Amino acid sequence: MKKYIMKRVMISVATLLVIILVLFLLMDLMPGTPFNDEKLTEAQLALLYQKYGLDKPLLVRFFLYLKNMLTGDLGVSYAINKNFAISDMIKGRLGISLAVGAMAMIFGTILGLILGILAALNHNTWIDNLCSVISVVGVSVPSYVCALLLCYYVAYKLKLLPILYNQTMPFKSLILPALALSVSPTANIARFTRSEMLDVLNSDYILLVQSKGVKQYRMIIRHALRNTLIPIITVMGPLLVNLLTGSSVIERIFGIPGIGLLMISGIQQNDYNVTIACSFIYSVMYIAVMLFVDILYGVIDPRIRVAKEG
Amino acid sequence: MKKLLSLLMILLLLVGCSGGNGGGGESGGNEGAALRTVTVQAPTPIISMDHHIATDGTSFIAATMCISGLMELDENGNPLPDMAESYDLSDDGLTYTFHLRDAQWSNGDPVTAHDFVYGWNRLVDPDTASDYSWMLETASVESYEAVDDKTFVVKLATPSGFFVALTAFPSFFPMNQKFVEEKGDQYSLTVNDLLYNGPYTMTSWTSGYSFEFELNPTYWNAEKYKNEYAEKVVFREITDTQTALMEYESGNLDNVTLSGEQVDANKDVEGFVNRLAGYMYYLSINMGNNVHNRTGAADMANANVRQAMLYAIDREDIARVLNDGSVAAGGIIPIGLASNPSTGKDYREDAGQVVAYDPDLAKEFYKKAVDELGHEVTFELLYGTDEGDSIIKAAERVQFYLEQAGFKVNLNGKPKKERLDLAGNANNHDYDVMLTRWGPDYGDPQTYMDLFVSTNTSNNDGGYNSGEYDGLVGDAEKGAGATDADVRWKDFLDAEIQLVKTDAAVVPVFQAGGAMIISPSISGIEFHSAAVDSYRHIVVNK
Amino acid sequence: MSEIKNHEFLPDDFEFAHEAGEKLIDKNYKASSYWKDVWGNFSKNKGALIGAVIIFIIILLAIFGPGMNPHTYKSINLGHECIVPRIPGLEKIGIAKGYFKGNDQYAAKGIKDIYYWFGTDTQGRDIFTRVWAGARVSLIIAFAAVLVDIFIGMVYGLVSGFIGGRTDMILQRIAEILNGIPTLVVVTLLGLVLKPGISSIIFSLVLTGWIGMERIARAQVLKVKEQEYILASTTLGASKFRLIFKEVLPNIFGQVIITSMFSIPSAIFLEAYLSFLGLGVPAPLASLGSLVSDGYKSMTTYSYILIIPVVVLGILMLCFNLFADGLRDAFDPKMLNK
Repeated sequence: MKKYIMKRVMISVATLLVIILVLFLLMDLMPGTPFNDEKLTEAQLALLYQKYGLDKPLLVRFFLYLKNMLTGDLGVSYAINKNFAISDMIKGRLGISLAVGAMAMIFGTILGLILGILAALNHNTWIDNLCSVISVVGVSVPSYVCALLLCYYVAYKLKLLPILYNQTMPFKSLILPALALSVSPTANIARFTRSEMLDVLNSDYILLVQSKGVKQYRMIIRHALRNTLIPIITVMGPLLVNLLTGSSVIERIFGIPGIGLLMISGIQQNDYNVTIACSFIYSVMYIAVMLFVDILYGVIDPRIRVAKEG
Repeated sequence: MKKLLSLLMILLLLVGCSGGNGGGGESGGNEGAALRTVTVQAPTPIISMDHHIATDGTSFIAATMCISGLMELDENGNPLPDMAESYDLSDDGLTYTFHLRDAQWSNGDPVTAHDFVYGWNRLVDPDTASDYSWMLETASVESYEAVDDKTFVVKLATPSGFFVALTAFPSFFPMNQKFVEEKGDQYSLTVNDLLYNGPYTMTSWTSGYSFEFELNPTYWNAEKYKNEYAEKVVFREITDTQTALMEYESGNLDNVTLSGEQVDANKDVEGFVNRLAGYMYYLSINMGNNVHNRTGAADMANANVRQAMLYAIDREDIARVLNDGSVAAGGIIPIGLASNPSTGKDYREDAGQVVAYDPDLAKEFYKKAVDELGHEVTFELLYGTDEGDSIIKAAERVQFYLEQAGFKVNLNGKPKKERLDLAGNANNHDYDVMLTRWGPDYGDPQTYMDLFVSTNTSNNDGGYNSGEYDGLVGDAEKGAGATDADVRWKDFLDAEIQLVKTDAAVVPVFQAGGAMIISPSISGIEFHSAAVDSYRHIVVNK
Repeated sequence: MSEIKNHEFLPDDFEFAHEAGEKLIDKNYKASSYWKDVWGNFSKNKGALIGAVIIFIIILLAIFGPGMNPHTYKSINLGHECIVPRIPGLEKIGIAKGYFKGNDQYAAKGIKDIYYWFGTDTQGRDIFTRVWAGARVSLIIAFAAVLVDIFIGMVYGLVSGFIGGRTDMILQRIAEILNGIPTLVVVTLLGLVLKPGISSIIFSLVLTGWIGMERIARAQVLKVKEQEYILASTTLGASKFRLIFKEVLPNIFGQVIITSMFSIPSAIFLEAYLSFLGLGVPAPLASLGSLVSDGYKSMTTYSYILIIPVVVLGILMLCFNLFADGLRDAFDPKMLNK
């Protein structure tokens, strides 16, 4: 197992290198320049390219970037916060995005599991139907609409929580954004939990457990839930990465200085270093989560021995 | 199950940690006694606090809060003495002698004429790569020098009516050489890497969240500020107009910008204002730069095609639908940009309506064009998808009106950087007609007129080339107009008619506006359509 | 072997070991085909049938709705901006009367005979026409998303998961690289290569839309492939192809269908984002996604502009799900009689 994990980590690092290279290529293909201002002359543009070393060939820039990255230097911003070190820009924002994302994931997982289990246990009753409707509405109403609804009723009308993000009370002011973000994961997780749970509940070993007279909640938690977790974790992985790396619309609505908005601005304004750094964070998280999920498979379901694959 | 629980625990822990981090950021600190605080909305973030590098409105507003130039502007955009106590103008109108007052930088250094020389040198230095490096040339500055610590002399090549007001623009602000060079690359990156000589100092700056200013005790006029103006000004970055309005209505903000959708419901609210911005939106027509052999652009060389476009658009209707304070364009020069040197009347009042809506005339021109070309006219209208909702709406309306006249118009929406790439960067010119805008850099028609002269390769995207127009603009700036302000004014009026009415080389559409609610509890936010808006004179009404 | 082959059983080769008096006679049922079974199961499911019928109605509306009144999706009715819905018939019973904040908007604007069934947007365009024109675009995208999910995502996941080993490793790394780069970065670049329109949306789906499905299909395969019946089939000498598509696929089909239904709204919203980047359907043509994101801007002022497309999208999704549930149950023999 250890050897397998080591091997997987090595491969993941290689994958990340390929991703950075691809990102560099993509940046090179982007139309326009980061200094795209109507008021700039050609000569000045050339000068700026030279100043930031953008006139160098792609591979040279790639290796320079890798070298700098090892020392924690992710370059400077060209357009968003001119000349700011990217590492400084990201430092403050990443924490906030992680916090909102993690909160949303917790809300989503708990609500989703509860809804899914309720629906499965009451298959084909009104409870099941209600849970289905909730989860369908959850995926078809975009998160920004939920966000504004929450803002309007909970914060503006009832004044229970702050409308916008507030540095002096981060936890309180992040509840609404996290709730808005959790709508779609809730729906997804609920759907998967329901259908997996149904599969499991219909299997023979549950019949055996039931016939042994095990209490229902114990049966659900010890026996049924465990077997429904694999596909759910598969769904959760990418959801988690998406949540943790920030949602630009939610950040915009609540005025949160997060990483999602930064990445969108990076893409829109061709701020190459910002885009690469934000994408890279996304990639690292994605690959780490996938690795974690793969390894977890084996832990949860003894029938899948990941080590075999290696 | 245990694993799942521990996973949840880890996540919870993460929340705890990072939540704490967010809170422990650069908060304003504890002030003790409550200051007279104003919280205003900043719809966009600061791009740079280095006023030579910055190019956007918010950065310039922040710069004017804490750094002072020779002059500042009053509410009507007229210059008031700031660092310069007074100035003398030579009889030929070419030499300005500024007498600086005893003022200090926030580190105790005196503000001297050398600081201005250094600042201006740095502006034009190619290594600075300032977007505004051409400002000195535009102001026809020939030379400048520090005669002594308190005397700064500027010589112009030609007399300029707008030069003194221009010194209130951030590009012309002074800089403390010792400090800037000591900080090097670090200069202006945090509140501690800046030196202030303006009424406020920047006390906190969290990009994406807020930036704050408090009174600068070493400002020459600090006493007045302490008694009259806000002691603390907080700019909160809020982009979403709907939550911003909720925040305003909850009493947490002192002003809020409204979108067109919000205006109807709020136009009777106390404090509602409609300010005019300087931005002029117009159709740039690719009539002479069809390097890509586009079939649409090929037809644009036909004068009747362009005339048809000029008369086809109901500009009043577009302004009404945008509903965000925008007004119909009367010509290429926006309202409130410049005033007649003799009578003081606004340019637009003098020039009147150069454009008109006449659908029948438009159809007539279109018919003539089709007869001449031998086919119907189909083209692409390029516009920006990330430049605000109003431009998308305007593009759809323009398409509607042009199709009423007979054109077949396909909309081609692109993000701004790609739009600029298609338009003029690297002499690409890969478009037929583009809905674009230009914001004035100073309060003179020249800022627009220079765009369309045939020698301006970087901005004359459409390739307009007219001897008459070039002649009029040349006469205004370097010929008879250089010494006679009235002739210059007349030349510009004629040039606009030549450009818009006679040749229909550009089709002005609307002048951007900004609907806003300003809380009755504050006053003194000053809008300048051709310069930087001022937030340095905010008064808290008791 | 040959001995056994030639051996013939005769009726009296076997006899009852005990209870000689008891006789069981098997009844013969007519063999029903797989598809007939599926249809039989499906048609018994009321929810699924209702879903299918409503989807059919929405498809009809998407085809004929834009032609049901004189407006087109881009025709601007000058002066008629932001008018609330008024529906003939319903107005008499107090619903959709054309009143906004207590004022009769139609009377105020002097509109007599025109009924905007779903109202007009901020540009004065008929929302009814735009919603159905938009539904047309969104249905095509939904269809494409499901196809991409099944033909690329599911097959990729099945093959990767079932074959395992080195193949799995390589296939997973490729998917990881594709998915490790944020979708937005990838689709932004498509603007260079592609003309905006439905084809560019489908192409971005082909590039990035299938990975969620791929992961789920693979996980499902991992779950079932170690089970006894696969082992049995393998022992009997079934080919890999047969194993994957005949043995594994039917057992994971339920999840696959549910997942592909859930990829529909994300595809629809991806389109809305692409429109913003200039890659979606070119304005003024609408899609449900772009109608929702446009309506958002007026949510606190003219909320009906948002509510109508959201409701249409919601109903569409609900029906897709009912339909998918029915399909899932119909395909999955285990779900019978439960």
